[in-house]
Amino acid sequence: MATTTYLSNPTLTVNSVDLQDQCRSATLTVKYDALESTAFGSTSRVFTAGLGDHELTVTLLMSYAATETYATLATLVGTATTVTMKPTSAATGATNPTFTLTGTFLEALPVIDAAYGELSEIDITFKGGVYTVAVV
Amino acid sequence: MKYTIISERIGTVGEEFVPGLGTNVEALLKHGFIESDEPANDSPALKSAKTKAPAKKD
Repeated sequence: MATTTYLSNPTLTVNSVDLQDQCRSATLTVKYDALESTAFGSTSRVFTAGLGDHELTVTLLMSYAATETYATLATLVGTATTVTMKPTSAATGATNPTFTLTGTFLEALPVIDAAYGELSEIDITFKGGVYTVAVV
Repeated sequence: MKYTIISERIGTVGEEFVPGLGTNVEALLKHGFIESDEPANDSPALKSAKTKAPAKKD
């Protein structure tokens, strides 16, 4: 069977704003608290899912131009919003699902992250929110 | 209230913008991604008229 790979080129929207052309890396992690339900009679530890604790971390090229990175994020810090990601810009489908975090919280925004002679990049993290996957 | 897209980062300019669940519309309005069909009202809210307390009867 042939190896299947995927060349990273995902789409990203933050509060409905398309930031794909500013994004250099992104990791959306779906995670649940592991609640131990081991009891008498168990021979191994067993766990059950608790609360979801999802997280999206992205690295963005910083820009202060109109409707760019700063304009998108400036009033979102300290609030909850919706973010979406897709593996590619193709239509949503079973092989290109849209992952959404609704009501995810932007805790911090580095308004300046500068180094001499380098393009400015910022790392931000969206915490929590309701995770859904759409395939249509 | 109806919103119109004015930035390509949101969608096709000129089309109606329908906010999805959890969308921060105020942020999009403030930074020029969309515009509202209702004019912004920067004037302070009108105060209610002061009324005199009824005179006390002795």
